[in-house]
Amino acid sequence: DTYRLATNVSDNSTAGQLLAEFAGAVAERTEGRVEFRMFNDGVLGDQGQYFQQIQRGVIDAGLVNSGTLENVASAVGVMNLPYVFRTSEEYAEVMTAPEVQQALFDATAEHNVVPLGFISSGFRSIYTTEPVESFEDIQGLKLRAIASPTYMEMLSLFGAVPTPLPFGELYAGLQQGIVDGAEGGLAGLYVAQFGEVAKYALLTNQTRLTDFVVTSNRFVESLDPADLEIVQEEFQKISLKSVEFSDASEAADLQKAVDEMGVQVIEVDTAPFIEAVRPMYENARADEAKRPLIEAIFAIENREF
Amino acid sequence: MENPAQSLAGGNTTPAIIKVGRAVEGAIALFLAILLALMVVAISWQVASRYLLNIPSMYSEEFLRFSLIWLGMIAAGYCFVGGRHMSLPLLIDVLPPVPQKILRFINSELSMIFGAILIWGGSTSFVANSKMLTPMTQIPVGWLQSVLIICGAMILIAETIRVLCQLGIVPRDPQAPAPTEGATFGQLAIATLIVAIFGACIVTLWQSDWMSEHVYSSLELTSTIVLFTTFVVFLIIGAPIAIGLAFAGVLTLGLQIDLDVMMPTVGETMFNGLDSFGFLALPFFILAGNIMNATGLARRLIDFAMLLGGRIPGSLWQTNVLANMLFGTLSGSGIASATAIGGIINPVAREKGYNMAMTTAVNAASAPSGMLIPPSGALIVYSLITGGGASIIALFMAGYLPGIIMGLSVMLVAYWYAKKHGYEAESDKPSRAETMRLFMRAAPSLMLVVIVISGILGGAFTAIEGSGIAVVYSLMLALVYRGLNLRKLFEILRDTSIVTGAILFLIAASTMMSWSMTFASIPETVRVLMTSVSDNFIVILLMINLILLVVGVFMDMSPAMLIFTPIFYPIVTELGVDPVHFGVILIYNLALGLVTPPVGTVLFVSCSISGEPISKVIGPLLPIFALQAAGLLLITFVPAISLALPTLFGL
Ligand code: NA
Ligand code: NA
Repeated sequence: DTYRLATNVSDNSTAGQLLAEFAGAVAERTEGRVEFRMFNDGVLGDQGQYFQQIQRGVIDAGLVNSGTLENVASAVGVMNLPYVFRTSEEYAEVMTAPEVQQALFDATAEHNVVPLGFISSGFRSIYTTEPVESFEDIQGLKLRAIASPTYMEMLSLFGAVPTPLPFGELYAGLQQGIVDGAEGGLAGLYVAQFGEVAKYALLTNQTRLTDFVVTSNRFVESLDPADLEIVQEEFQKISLKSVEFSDASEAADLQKAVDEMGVQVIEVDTAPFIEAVRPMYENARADEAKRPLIEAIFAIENREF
Repeated sequence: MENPAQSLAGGNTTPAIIKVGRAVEGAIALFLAILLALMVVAISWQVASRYLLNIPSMYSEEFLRFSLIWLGMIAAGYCFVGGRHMSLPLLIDVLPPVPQKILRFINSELSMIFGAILIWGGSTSFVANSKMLTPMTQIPVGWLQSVLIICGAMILIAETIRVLCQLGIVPRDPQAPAPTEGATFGQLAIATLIVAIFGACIVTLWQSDWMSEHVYSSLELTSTIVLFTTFVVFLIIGAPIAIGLAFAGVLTLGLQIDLDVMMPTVGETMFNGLDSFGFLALPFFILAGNIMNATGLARRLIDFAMLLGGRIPGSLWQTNVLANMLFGTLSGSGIASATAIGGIINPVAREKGYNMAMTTAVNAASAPSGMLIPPSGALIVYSLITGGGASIIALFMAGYLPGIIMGLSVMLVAYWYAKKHGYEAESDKPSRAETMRLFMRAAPSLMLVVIVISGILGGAFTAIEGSGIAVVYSLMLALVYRGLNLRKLFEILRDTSIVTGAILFLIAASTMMSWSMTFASIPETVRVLMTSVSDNFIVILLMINLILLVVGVFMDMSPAMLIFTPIFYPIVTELGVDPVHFGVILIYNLALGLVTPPVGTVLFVSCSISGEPISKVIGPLLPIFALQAAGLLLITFVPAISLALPTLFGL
């Protein structure tokens, strides 16, 4: 049968490529019993919108990031905390840990969706139109933030002025000086051509906005158990692959921005950034829904805060 | 025939039920006006807090987005009360009285069914999405979606009252906009029977094995046939166009999903269709235009346009075109322009013995130029559909010359017509002092475009926020000129809400329909088909222009843009067409569609202002349309016309 998989990313994005690979492998191994038809670029709506149809079983599967999921299951918000993952290795270790995966299942179960797994989309950093080198330099800068209280709070704690702006207006916003910079993946400098106007890429690596693929209960129930196992196995493969793959493609895109647009990549001491967001961990620990997950993650990472 | 409702209402005492009805309507109108006013305050605050105070507001964006949906949905419901939704009364007008009344009943019942679908779906969404919160304001999404229930209930109640009025059970309000003629229970019974039989047939057919086999083997073809058949049938019977679009979507979705899950999907996709910050530009630019008009600023623009127009044969026509283009810099709405400028030019033209069919054609054909001349809501909406692939400010710059070409085409035909029929120029070259005087009188309104464009370029606000700034500026002018009191302001806010509601409901319904098309993979099939015909971009662009011209004949701009941009955009950009250039082609093309019957909103409005029947206006429109179409080809194949200005400004 053909199942609909909705995303809001393009075919040639990291997630788009990996999902196409996943769909191909599943179709082959199930001999066409399970075929995914991709609906990329948000043609079936944005993440929060198709999530509603997945809950209802109208759409079979979809890509939702941890930011969207946080609005449904607040525990997921822990994964959006800045510097909760300090390196890619830490990230991979946490995301594949059984207790973390179980926590995710528990958080989403009451919302009528079944998570299939995660796809890494790389670290997010800060890029600006003015020269910056350190924590001090971003004080008071207007940085575009995604519409999420976590991200707004983070940028405030960094000392910047978080500024909401729709993604579609970011290029013009940087160009006309509505904002001085933005928080986001550095690949965007090349892919969305922000590097034409924002020349300074500060390697702050504060968050990893994780993509999850969730499926409807109806999808899981309609599958033969053996086929479901194939689906899960194939997803595991791209999941593991995605950590390296996203880091590599992110780095490659950033390099293109450097070569073709003259973007400067700036190494930065992250210690003051990590210190600045400490209150966010304390708040998460005080939250009943978030405490178990943050403690599980810190235990895996072997850190105090 | 004696109408019991009319005789009842004709007495000296107004029946209590009518008083209640008026009170309810008044309350809804007040709610809409206050909401729109609050939205103006919020967008001003958003700009001021960021640009002036450096403490960007976190919540205003979400507030504005959701307010717009509520404004649109409730105003849409309100439009059903007055029968204000656009429809195509071609067939219904030529029918004899009895079938006509039956058809009206059928339309009412179809609207009621859709109202019921919204109530059903909205209630399901209300419960299902109450645990999902909006990111910033943390309001349950289900609560916000309860506006679907309200809208559905308003449709249901409005149509029920209409039916009761027609039956003479409820007295008709003599002040109500749309006339209702008396009808009998027998006619209602026939209408109900027809709807019931058709409904039963469709439900049976949809659940039959024969149908599901067809759906399974050729989903795209079956869906396409269902979609277009439904839409055309609803168009022919004169149902509101939005209802036709909505049912086209419902029946297509019904092929693939079960009824109980389909209902909330219908409501949610309509709700989501309006969930876009950029749509704010629609009410705000219309509002700015309406305020300018109410305060006598349109008159000043016309006097200014007369400086040049008056010296060309067919002076009033030339002036009308120039004034429409100038008004385009105040408002992104062809309707607002045709109303404001046509409303002043028409009486003068009649007095001076101008051919009124030609006058109407000139006003209609030049009014949409303001949708290309910035600022323009249409260009903003296009930019959003492309996900920012074409920047708004680049589109603004790109729109100038094509907008002027659209207007010049009308001036050329008017000149030729005037020469042929012996119209002369009305005035000589004015004195420098007179020129200066008229320019100074028009300057404050012309400043609007300077403020908006330089504010965007200077980083004070985004193009969308610029629409709110336009409102604030026009309000300031109104204060200075003392052209506005509270009562008048309320009326302007109310009327803007109603016009916006009608447009947004069309957008919502067409989004739902295009969602159902996407769900059935129709766009993908069209894309494959088109690229298999040719991979030459000239051929593809010609094909697209042809399709859009045909589409524009039947569809209004927003729905056409929402449905076809996602289909064509990837095809043309892959062939190397600039996204900004394509946006200009698309909007120019669809702007022509606003003037072509059967669905030409700007033509409707222009005709209703001049009182000329559409059939008489088509003759003079044809040569204008031909020249404008030639302009379309020019714009399509000479990208520089669109791209020179943006390139010059480094955008
Ligand atoms: Na305009
Ligand atoms: Na038309």
